[in-house]
Amino acid sequence: MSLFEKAQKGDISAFEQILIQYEKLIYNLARRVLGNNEDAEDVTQEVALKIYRNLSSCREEGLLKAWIAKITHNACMDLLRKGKGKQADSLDVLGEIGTEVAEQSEGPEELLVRKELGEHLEGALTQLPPNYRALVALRDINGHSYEEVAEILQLPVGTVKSRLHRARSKLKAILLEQNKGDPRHN
Amino acid sequence: MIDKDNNEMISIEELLADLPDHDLPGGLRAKIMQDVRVVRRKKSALQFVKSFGAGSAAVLVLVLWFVWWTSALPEAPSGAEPAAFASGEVSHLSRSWVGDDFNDFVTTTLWVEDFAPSIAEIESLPEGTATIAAEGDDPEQLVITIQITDDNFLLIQQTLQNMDIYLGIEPDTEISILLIKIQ
Repeated sequence: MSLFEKAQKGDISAFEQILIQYEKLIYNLARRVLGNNEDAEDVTQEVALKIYRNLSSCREEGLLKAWIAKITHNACMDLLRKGKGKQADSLDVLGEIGTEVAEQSEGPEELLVRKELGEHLEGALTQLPPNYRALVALRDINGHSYEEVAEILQLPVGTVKSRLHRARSKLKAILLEQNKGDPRHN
Repeated sequence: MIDKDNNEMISIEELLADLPDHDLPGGLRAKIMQDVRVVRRKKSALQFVKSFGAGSAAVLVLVLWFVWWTSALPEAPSGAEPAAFASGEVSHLSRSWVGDDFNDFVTTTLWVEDFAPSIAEIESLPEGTATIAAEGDDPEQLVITIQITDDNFLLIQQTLQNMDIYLGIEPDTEISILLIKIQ
């Protein structure tokens, strides 16, 4: 019997193994859609319980990742709809981080630049509207296919593609704006 | 979008795909698993209640067993309502609870196996508070009576967790627990 089947039958240790596999996906998706750690923790907790309660309704193991992402996305949207979400982490902090990508070099320095760039990008993500954030996080960060994203968000594939295009354009505009405001780029 | 040294252009998609994962905050998984165990107990209890209602013969056998089992317990003090202990009153039970396996203790000893007949009652109880009382001063022969007026298993678990403050039971100690519905 696979881990998935055992967990479906209520085996707690099998469920814990599945949780270990997917907890980062849940937490990171929530964090990127909600924009702060506190809400992401709450949603992760809530989603894990929903998964445990409803795992038997996931038809097959191959669909598990998308199924979990869908539950996570719905939980995030519920939180935002209720207006209970906290403020996204301040961009003032993240905005202090430069993107001296042109000066990238090999080694530890490159790693540092990459880390800074990552934080800068995450900061820019929080400026997007939540539905755009979810699209970008699902497709570009979590690597779901367009079809999976469409299934998770309950949208036609064409709409996913067009909205994603708009989301990326908006993100690009935000990043360019931030670069303009960064004295190191002037 | 961004020029690197070699003038290679990087798309936003590529940049985002490179974003590192954030680690789960410490202790969150343990917290989740604790919640999951509570849900599991509720599910087990509900399943039992369903199967309990499914066969009248099984119900009869269990009711008879429960009646026999409760009659075998030492009689409750007169007044039939055990008093809640204050911590000082049981200070003679000096052994302290040290188990991380408290959940296993509750699952196997209280909810699912030995005390299933009481679960149907707990499910239908109104909201309220719980009180705990105990008889006997030998932890291995202890009879504990818990009055529960709350159908929230989590609260019951919290109450039981508080019990170690009062009673100091070791993890492997076999104890008998009688759940009483308060009208």
